Amino acid sequence: MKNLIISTSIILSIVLVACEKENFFEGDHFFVRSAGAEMPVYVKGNIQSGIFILFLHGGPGGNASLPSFMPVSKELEKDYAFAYWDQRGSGLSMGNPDASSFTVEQFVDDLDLVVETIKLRYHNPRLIFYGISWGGALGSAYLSTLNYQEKVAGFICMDSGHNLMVGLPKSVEFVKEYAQKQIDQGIDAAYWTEARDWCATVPDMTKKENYFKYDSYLTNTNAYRKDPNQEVQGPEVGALGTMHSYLSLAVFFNGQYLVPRFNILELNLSADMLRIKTPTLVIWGRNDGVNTIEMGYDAFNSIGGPDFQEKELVILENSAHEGYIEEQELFIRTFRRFVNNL
Amino acid sequence: MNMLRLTTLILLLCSLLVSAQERNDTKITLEERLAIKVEYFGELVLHPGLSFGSDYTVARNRWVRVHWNTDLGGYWHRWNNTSVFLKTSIGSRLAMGAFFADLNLGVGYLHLWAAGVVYQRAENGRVEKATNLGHAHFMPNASFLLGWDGTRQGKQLWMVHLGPEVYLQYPYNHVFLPHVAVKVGFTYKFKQQ
Repeated sequence: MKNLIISTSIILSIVLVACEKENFFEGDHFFVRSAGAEMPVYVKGNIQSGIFILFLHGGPGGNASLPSFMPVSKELEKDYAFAYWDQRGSGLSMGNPDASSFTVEQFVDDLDLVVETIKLRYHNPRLIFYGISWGGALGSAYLSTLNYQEKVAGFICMDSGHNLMVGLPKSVEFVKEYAQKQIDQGIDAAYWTEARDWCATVPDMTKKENYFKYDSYLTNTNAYRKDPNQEVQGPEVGALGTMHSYLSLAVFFNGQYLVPRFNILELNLSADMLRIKTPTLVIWGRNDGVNTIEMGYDAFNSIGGPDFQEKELVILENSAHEGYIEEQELFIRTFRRFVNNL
Repeated sequence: MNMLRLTTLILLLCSLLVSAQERNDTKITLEERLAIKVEYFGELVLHPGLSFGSDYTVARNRWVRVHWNTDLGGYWHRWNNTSVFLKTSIGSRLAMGAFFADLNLGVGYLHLWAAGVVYQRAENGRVEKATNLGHAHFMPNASFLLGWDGTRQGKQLWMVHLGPEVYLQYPYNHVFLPHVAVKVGFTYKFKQQ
């Protein structure tokens, strides 16, 4: 019995000491409370730079917590502070917000609270939005609301879903073409014939049931990654890392309530984006099947209108929707050049 | 859900079995029934916590002991939350010599505070620090423990146990958020049975 107690005590001591041994988060953090949600903001990187990159995650219902462990993030954090905000009903965000708060307007209001809090807490730093997919749409919605854009020095808009009314039918077309290629190559012909034929009916993509059916096909294409076999550097956090870090199982289970209740299928911000006069980098994967390259041109043309000069379009020729890991070096170079020239 | 039903059924059967047999057992005193315990409660193993509680024997026979637990504890998930809980559970402990396997089902109350400064919009439109009152949650839980019972081998009054506990946090963005914790604990009996 004595030996058993000693052994158990040793194991317990190792476990407790291990908690302190490795840091899977270096930085600052705070929470913002808004309309029933309590949302974490993790700040990592070079806070002294006075340049804050506010990361707007995708989804809706994705998270900023896991991307904060990406090697690409760690590299850019050497130069700038990164603020990783988990939106309502997403990531590690807490509370119990009502479904009626799942509107673009509320997300914009939440974002403004994050912006104001960063300005208060870090003595008015230069703030740059970096939004991917839905995050790009949210950034666009924010910058075209009231005079909010005066608070933001720059905008990196990547593969954004700012106009799903036009964009989703193009993505359906992408699925159809992909399906045809699979049929031609004799790969899972029955499944892809079904997918192709369904896409050929030109489904109404403003209907949720159609969206979810299309999405189930889309995830089996190479819409997200041009070469699904490409070795990329994903988040460097495994099970042990999760146990050491601020991450929790919430990252995987949160969003289940939000996703079916936040309807952005009729989102069309293109006209509103004419109001944006914030210097912008539009960066897009040539082979993106989620928000196709046509939507990249649409974003570029819409932001600030045709006469607005402080915008740039960079196309990642060998990327789909995840250019930040598919062409990591080019992405990092482009990111730094844009931010340093602001 | 099927697993939950199965676990409930096993606990119920054990309770009935022990209850039926205990009617013929000699009467046991409160001191013999009651034990206190302390546990390391590691949410996701490494988010450290402690729990203190009681273990009350409801019924027993030679192989199975049905016990009622009450636990008060908490854990600290650094950079994310600080939580305290009060829970109660009913368990069936099956003995194999000095070793035992313990299956418990219970409910509890979990109070969770964001582990950091919380900001909100002030009435004047600016930003202010908010009072952090935390969030109240329902906490159904189940645990499976393996352990060693010194009382079955002689004069020892100690038991040790180790095992996982699964619990749910509700409401959490309107979902039941699952958690896994590892428990390592000592139980002290006031009197040998």
